[in-house]
Amino acid sequence: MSEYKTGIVAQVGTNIVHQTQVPPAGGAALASELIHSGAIRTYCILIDNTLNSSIAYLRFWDTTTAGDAESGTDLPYMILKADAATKVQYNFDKGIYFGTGIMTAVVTTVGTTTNVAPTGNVSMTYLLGA
Amino acid sequence: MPTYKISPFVTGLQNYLFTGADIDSGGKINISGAPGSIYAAKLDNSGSSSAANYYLIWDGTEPTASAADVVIPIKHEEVVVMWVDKGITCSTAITVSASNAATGSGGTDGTANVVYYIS
Repeated sequence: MSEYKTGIVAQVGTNIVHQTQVPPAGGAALASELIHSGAIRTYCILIDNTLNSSIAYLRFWDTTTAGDAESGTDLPYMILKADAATKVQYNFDKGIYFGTGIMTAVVTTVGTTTNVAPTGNVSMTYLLGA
Repeated sequence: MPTYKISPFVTGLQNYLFTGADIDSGGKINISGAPGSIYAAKLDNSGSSSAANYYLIWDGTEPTASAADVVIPIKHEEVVVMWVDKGITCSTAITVSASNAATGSGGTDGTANVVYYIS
């Protein structure tokens, strides 16, 4: 039996971020959430939408300023989709570059308008790195 | 001038390989002629020297601005390969485009190319 150990020349992911979006209380607007400050790349994004019977759209903004990441008002930088009652994983070999930071929100409406959260929790896991 | 090509595959997982060269914001509607899912993609923005381009996917037959199901920004001069384990489901039709705006309403910066693996 032989054992091999290979050094990883360049680390890909350096941060793993877990996030759960809980539906806002009745009447409250859904607010985007800051998951990282500073320039970074996203290499992997897991969206767990198993608790919802509607499609979930994960919106991203390349900012750290809440006023620039108002879902339904400010144009998202990136949008990913998770089917109803499904857990889906997106992988990017070189990562998607964010120059300022990452704020996110999950909504039920396709596109960039409207700001309605799914009725159940949605969980995300992000692999981030330089 | 955009050019598009689609080839049938023989495997069950990915039935079609769609390639688009120098695609624009007008996009290509219903790329496989049927509903389907995108499981992998090569998003080539190496032909842009100064700005990001956004690669957009609609579940439908109209590339309506600000209404895409999926929007992926690719930094200038970069090529990114994407895998999606469960696929991006398009239950009506698969429509794609590229733009220098996240809305999908502007032309591309430089040349944007794509390859989509569809089932």
